[in-house]
Amino acid sequence: MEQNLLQIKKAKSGDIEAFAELYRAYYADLYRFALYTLKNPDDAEDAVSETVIDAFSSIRKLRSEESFKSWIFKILSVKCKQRFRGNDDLSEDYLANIPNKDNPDDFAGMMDLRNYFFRLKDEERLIISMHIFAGYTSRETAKILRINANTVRSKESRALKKLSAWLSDE
Amino acid sequence: MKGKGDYMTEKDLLDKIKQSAEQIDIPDTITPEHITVKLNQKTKLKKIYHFPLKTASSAAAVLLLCGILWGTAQNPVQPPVASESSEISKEEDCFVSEKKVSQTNEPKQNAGSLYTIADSYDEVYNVLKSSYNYEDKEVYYYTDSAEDIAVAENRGELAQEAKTAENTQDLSSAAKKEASSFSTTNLQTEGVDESDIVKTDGRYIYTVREQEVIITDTSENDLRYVTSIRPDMDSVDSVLELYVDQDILLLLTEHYDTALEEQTETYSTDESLSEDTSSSGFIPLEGCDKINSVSTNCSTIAYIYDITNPAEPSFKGTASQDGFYQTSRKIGDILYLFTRKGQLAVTSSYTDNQGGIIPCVNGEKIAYDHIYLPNEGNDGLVISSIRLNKPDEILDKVMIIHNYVEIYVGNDSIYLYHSEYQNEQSLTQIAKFSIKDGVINAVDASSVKGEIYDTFAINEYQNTLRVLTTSYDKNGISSNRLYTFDENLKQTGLLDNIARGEEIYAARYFGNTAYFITYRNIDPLFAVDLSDISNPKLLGELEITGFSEYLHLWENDKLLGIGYETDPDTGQRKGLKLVMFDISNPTELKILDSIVLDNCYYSPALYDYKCVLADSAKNLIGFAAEYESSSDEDAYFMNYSVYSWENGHFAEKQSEHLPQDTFADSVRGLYINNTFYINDSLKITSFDMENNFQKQKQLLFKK
Repeated sequence: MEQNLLQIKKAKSGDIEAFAELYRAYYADLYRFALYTLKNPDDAEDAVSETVIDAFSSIRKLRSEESFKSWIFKILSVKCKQRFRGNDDLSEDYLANIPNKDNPDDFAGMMDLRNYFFRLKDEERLIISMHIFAGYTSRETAKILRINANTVRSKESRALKKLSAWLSDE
Repeated sequence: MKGKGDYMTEKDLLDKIKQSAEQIDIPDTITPEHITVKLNQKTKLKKIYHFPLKTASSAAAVLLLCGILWGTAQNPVQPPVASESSEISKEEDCFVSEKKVSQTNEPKQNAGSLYTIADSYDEVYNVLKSSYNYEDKEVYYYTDSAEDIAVAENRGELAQEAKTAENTQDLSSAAKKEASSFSTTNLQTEGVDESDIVKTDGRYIYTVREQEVIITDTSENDLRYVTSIRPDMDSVDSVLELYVDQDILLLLTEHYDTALEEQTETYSTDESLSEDTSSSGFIPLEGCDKINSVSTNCSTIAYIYDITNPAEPSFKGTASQDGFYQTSRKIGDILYLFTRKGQLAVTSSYTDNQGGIIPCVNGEKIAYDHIYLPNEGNDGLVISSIRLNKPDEILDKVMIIHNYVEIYVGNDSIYLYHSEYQNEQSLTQIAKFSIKDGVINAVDASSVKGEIYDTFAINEYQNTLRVLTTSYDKNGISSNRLYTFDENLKQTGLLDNIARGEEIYAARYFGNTAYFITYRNIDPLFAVDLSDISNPKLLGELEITGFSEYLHLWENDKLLGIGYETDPDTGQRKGLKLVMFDISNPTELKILDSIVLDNCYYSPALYDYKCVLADSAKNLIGFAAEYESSSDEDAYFMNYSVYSWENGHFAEKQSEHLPQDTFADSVRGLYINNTFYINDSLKITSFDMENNFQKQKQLLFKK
């Protein structure tokens, strides 16, 4: 993390290349986060694009001990939350629109999992994404979402139980 | 027959989800190469929001926080002619007080020019409306949430220990009276109590679990479930934290009201609004007549119980307040409750001049002459005060409109602060409100250079304020300052140019001395004399490797630091570190001992002082921490460890392994007399401190 300090300093002074290098390490996970939270590739792409622009224009606010990763995911989390549409309906076939790498392992199992994951509520997907892609602790997630940390933990746990039940019901 | 899901732990499942995501093809448009090109174009254009978006609704997004319309369209504040159908039904429960003028004799004062008292509800709406189109960037980048805005201890630990005894209640049973010492929540300001998820009164332990509070009797070295308090709540509501004050138990809960609404699309017809909205990136949804949306209203409710007999808590009443719970403080028998009603301008249409979107406290709208307006702002911070034994009687209530503020509460005042950027410089705006006997009134506002980076960096002592800030110059070089103010928030002194190139990591004030840690690759501890508030003087400085994130006074002449050890050359973190400084002579600061916990990289103690048990009278330092397994890099485990300070060194007294599914931040260590307890949301375990912390009992809470 600390080896990025020089790049952070450069980026803070407006160096786009330095910023892009910091971003390089995380963009794939940022996109995965956005896609798994928003379910829709177009939305995900927009959310990441907006995040990058916001991050670049405000990088001066990054504290050096706060990791770039944690900070840029914080912006993305808020962006994703803003994009929720409140419709948890499943009528749209999100899965078909998601581009996959060629021949992923266990394609069927993966599609099942994604399918069920997308059945979770917006907030549940967001909380899990914040955990696995952003690497936040439940306390950090709680801070960003401004909900109680215990609630984060129990919401995630409940969501995973649901998911697990759906998977075993097959 | 069991399905495959049955065999998966939560971690397995999370790993699988992650793996499935790794199969996604990442679009080219967001690669660093493309981003570089876009950013180059953008900086030339200097227009942030002309970035092409694939989806129309995205730009119209709003913060989905408490009190927000959650749907495909958001209505900006509308002129009085707007349709009535979009009025949120909850608002009807709330009425405008007959007494529009303050119940208190004293009229509310302006907080300088930072926040001024509204003349009318119309003025409130005008500010909200003009702020609506302004997309606030600051809000995403706050570094700390209000929940851990703290106040620094300023009367030293002796006072805290004195209070331990004073806290021992006048208990009816003999067993209760035997309890002579027990731990209290780790507070920042003596005399300013804070809520937490676990509390003890010297005999009973009160534990918050989702929708209930579990009461456990610890008498006779046992752990007996007594009863649990379940407020009458909906399934989505939750108990957050609690206070125990003699015979009163107060629970803080959040209540959600969700309603599906059909709305008539209004703003595509209004030309002036369309212009406004498009200029800030809004794309009106043409052709939509009716929009179904979900509105969620959140209110914070305090439930108050008489626990004279903890086996039979009796319900005394509730106090409720619109908005998300932010934080609370208890000074004497007065509770100050802070809630946030987000994005006021979009939560409802402006339908009348009777306070259509104004939050309520105990069902009563806040009078306009109790509303503080900034130049611009869209969120409401609602502050009310009640006496614990009379929850239905609100002592005072005010709302401060803001874009983002942090909250700090001292013995005599509430301070609201936030940072701003002006001419490439960061500033912190501070407003002071006096809180005498529950009456909240502004004193003044002031601003300082730089930003407040540590929650303990702002502190009130004898009604005067001291603030430590960090700022960056145009070359990206940081520098730190210490400001002092008098009781009217007039700046009296400044010590600047402290630790150039470093940032403030931790701070603590004890009486007239400020101690703080700055960090780049090494960790200097500074001591500053503040006894002459017009002339702060640097007393001493000490450099060591690593840095502390949390400081705690130990036996009046030592300072305990919890932080990280780092490699001074690479800055790489080597593990959690405990350090003890000798501050008996602030001009000659010394290190007495430090230990590094190998393979330990996270402890909630670093960020949430309520997770720390540090009690020099009882000689206990306790906290939970996560450790990487030395054999398997991916595996980690969690321990609750207790240390003592013995013969000038840290001595590990106990290290209790916590189950994998324990949530580190909710673990609390506490003691009653000679028994130590570890309480998490799943169980309480007791240990005999006189017998090498031997495990005694365990009480598992029902799932």
